[in-house]
Amino acid sequence: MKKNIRNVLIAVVLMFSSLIGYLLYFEFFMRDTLLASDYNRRLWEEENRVVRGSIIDRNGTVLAETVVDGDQKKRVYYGDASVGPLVGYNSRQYGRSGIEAAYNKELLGMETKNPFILFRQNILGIKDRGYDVILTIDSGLQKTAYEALGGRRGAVVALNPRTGEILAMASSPGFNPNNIERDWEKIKADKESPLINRAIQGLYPPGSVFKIIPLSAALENIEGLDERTFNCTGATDVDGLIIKDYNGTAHGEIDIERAVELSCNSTFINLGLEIGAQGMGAYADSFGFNRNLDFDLPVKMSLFPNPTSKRELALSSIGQADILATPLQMAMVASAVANDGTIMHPYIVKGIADSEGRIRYSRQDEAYLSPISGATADKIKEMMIGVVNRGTGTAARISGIDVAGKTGTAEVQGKKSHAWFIGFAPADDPKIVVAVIVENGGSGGQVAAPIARQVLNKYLPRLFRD
Amino acid sequence: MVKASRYYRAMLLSLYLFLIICFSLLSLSNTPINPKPLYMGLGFMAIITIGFITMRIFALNGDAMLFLLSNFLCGIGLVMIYRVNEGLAYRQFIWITGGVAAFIVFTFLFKYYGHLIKYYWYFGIASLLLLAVTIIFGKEIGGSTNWIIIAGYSFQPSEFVKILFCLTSASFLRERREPKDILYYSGFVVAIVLLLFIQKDLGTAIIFFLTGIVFVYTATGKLRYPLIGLTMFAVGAVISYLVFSHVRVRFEAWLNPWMDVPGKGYQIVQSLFAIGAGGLFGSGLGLGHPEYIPAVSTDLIFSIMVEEFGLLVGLAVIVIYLLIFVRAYLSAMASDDSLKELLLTGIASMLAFQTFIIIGGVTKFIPLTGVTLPFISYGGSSIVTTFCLLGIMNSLSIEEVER
Repeated sequence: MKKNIRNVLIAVVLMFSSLIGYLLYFEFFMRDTLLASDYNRRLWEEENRVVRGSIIDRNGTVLAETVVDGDQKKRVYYGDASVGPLVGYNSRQYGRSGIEAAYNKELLGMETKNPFILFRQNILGIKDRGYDVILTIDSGLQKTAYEALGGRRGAVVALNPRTGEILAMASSPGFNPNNIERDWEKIKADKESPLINRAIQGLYPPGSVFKIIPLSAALENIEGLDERTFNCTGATDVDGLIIKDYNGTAHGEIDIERAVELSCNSTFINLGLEIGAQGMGAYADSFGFNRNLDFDLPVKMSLFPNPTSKRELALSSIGQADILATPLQMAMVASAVANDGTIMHPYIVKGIADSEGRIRYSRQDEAYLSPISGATADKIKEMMIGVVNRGTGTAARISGIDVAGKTGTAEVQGKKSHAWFIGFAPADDPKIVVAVIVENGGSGGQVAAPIARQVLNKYLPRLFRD
Repeated sequence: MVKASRYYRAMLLSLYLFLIICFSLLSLSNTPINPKPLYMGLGFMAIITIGFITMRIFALNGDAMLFLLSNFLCGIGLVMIYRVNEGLAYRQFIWITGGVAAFIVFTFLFKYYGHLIKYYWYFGIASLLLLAVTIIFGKEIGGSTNWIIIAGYSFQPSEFVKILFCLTSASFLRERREPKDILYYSGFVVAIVLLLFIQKDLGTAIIFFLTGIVFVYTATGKLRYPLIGLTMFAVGAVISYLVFSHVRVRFEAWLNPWMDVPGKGYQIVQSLFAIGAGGLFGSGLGLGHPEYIPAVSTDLIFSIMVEEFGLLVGLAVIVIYLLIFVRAYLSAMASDDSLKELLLTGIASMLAFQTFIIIGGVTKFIPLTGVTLPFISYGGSSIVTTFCLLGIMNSLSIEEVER
């Protein structure tokens, strides 16, 4: 019977060991997500106890802060509607969004704190303060980008291609978070959905700005592309499907460079068919399509469904078919060209600082994807400079600075086209990449390119002054 | 003898220190300072000291560690209950006093267990009758019909049945281990489990079932019995999942409590928030949010304990339980009498399953079924019964120095 008892003992010890193991796992791996849950009433309890941290831009400009007036606490936002969808709101009644939601735990300073510090604070009655969240955003640029959209539905993403820092992320129409509780019903019911951050939550057909991807595949896989010429008649017949060029313009005998400058559909359809569905899918994936981006805010996944027919492949090569991309995704595509073929991992939170200004966390730059070689990137860059200098994107020209760009006019069933522009400047040493979309805005060259120009213009001169 | 005494003294002193700190904190947290918690702490210390000395004076040789370790659990439980609900703490104090008295009586009684076990048939019949009576006259509290109210006092017969069940099982299996006997015994266990199941007391039903399996395995050493038992358990679980909505609700709340947080998942989600909020070191006594946790002084007391004292204390509590059980098993292995072996193993396993089921339940390791946390949860029936079981273990176990 001794042996039986020993076995029971072993079983019970195993049972309790597994429980202890589970609790440790819970503590170290499940706890953080659990505590951030909106159902957790302790968060609001913390909200009462703690002074919520501020949200600050890259230059130290405050975008959101909690003002304490006696026993009253008030969350105040600066930057009006231009920062609304990005910074978000924090309302006891309506919950949280944007950075306020994603960094709630940090803003409340809820991570396990040093028990001795807590003890000291409790004894001395020091009011606890959450952490400050420092963004990579330049609030001046953010304002310019938002105003350039001029109330039209759309988004602008600007980022530093060398580091991945997001410099501006505007979504229009926005909302003023200061008035969220007063205007909730109106904002919520607004058909133009101001609550959505279109830059990362909006999925759009990319149209011709997508052509950078088949172009990359062609440059790297088709021998002697530079010497070839293409004959454009203004329309292409793919298995009975007639795909027209923009406005049905026939571009005639052109080389690849000119085809990019004029955004010639016939040429790209021919290239796409040559590359094939597999090659196209592989390049789209390598630029970040069909991949969940680990970002500081929730991002929708950009989609490139593998073409299953020749027609679909043809449409895919000009960015139509069922391809969907976020403006951030298209900014990343341009940043690959700008940064010698490498996409840096984009981020928007630069660091976290505690109430005494000590940096608790600081984001490091890291490479995300390397879809193309440096040589390919250089070739594409030259062509993109051509687009702005003598192609479809002349509206983005800035005197004295080489701007590289690509326009897109993405067709939407039964509605006006989406206007796109992606680009960067200065072309020889890119400091900033922009992606612009105006929903149902019409031609990319006429509508989106001028917006990009304003953003680049605002950011660059200051840099040159430095 | 000297060495063991020194250990006991060190344990008592550290327990005193812990209690004085905790109850002082509870006193100081009021403005103006309220001395009542401190009085209760001193009272509790007096009770356990008297209990301990009585045991030593009358040389009721047993494993004194069992008593000391459980006093730690009782102490932290009393602190938590006082913090959550002062009124309940006074009653708990009375239950603990009664429990310590019962502990001494049972320690004494089981020196003469030879006389007691002759009546095991009566014990068996009594346990079935008690449970049957509960079904007929029982009152539903908290979703289970397992309470009887007599003259204004409510108690849970299923708790006392635990004592009778262990006595019956050990006495029966001591001499009768043929397959036919095991079949009879299984009938007894299944009857008890079904009676509990009808009362919707799932957790307790599972405790009895598993304990029955341990009894049979310890007596026979044949692996096929636990295998058959666990298969029956699995089949029973699947059938009750399909047939009974209250079983389904518990299972679904375990799989995905987030589907219905205000409803089915409420208990488990609040419990997880509390445990998460505590972190390793806890928010500090009095700084947590017991008002968010349902059944916080009974079934979910572990959650508030971890929230305020931290996971490290939670793990220490689990280790204290484990120490109690392991000591009982070691005593059983050192014993020369099959009845002692069976009783010690059975009782230790019963308490082990109970502890595991509720701690595992409130942490979402396993589906949550409401049972009390031995020694810690508020509850007269539970405290007195657990002390009786501890008394039996104490009486039958061998003092360390004698090994």
